[in-house]
Amino acid sequence: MTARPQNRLQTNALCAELTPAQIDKLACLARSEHHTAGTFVFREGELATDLYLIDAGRVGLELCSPRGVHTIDTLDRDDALGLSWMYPGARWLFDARATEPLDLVVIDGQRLHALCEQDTDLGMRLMRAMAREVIERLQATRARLLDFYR
Amino acid sequence: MSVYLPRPFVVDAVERETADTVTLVIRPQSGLAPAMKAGQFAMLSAFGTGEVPISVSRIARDRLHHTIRHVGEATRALTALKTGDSLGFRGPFGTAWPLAAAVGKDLLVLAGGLGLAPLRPVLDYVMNHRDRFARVSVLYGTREVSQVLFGRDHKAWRSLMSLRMTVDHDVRQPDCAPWSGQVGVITKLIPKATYDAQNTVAMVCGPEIMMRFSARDLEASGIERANIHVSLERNMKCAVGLCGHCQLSNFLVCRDGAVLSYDRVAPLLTVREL
Repeated sequence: MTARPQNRLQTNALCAELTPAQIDKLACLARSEHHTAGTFVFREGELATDLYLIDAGRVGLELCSPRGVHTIDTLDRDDALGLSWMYPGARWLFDARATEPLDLVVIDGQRLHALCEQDTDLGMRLMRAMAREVIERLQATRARLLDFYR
Repeated sequence: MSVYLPRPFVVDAVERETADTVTLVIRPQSGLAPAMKAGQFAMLSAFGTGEVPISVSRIARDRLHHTIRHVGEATRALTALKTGDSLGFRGPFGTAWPLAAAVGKDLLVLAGGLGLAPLRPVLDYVMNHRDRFARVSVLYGTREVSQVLFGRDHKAWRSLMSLRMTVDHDVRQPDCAPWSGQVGVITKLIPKATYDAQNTVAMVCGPEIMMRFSARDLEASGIERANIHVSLERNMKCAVGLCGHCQLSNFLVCRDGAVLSYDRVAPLLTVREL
């Protein structure tokens, strides 16, 4: 049985700095999604409208080229899937494909933007958590650029 | 016998690991194999070509396994050896992984790329003495799926310990089975491992930058520097602490290492001149 989005948000690392009242507000914008292994959550070029939080399972960020399908990164429980939703009108840069059965909490991006502007404290805390996620991924990308196993 | 004089060994078997890496199973041409400890290395020589330091990757009763990647002339010659060929052996040299210090504790093994080879004797020891340790987690990162080492051991390891793997690059061809593991840096695996930071010994081996990043995150998770052990690689020549080629500040890595605790070497690893 799928847990309610509110319960899942309470334990998600991205919401660790939010107050219970703020999590309640966020939960009002959230819904649950389940994807079976091999299915796509979104495709490259689609409008990036929502924030996805991974509750269980694993998803691969993929890009296809004449050499094959490149998995750029994999994301697991507690990770935010996709960052492009932060900028209205942006499009996803990669395909997101479930590599295992995947449970997501999906938050409507447009309404989330409005909520962040209305409750600036929530907006600040959420953006700080997103910035930490971005920094961690940037540092990981830099490390991979070193290609130190070669 | 002089420590500088290679002892003649013979190749008993060659195990192909990846396109550029083989494991030589070797034994002395006469007499007993030397007693090696997990983490120690030997100077292996391809006659007429050169001599290189290679860690032991499995310690059997009368055989030693050494896993070698072809990266230069001496390793090219060694990886080209066939069953029955001869090679030179000096050793064992250097320090060992502190297995005794990990008894009764959680053990965290972090291996990057070929760094899994010097750690395999640790995992062999765990397999044979599993009850001596609490939780055992192996985190293994490598460049790509084709570079994963010791695949034939993984099933057994998974039966007695947690094994998590990640690759830096994954390109899936239409006719290949998809990689089901993680893609990304090895440090992403650290938060997924289960351990009590106050009661954990970590052993880390791989490219030096990988060890630095890993040790930094292990320390941030609460493991004391003294309980984090790394295996350093420098230009070992004499292997007995005389020539100075492998000097790292106050240490001669061939003699004082290669395995050293992170509290002793951490400040040295960011000094540009070293």
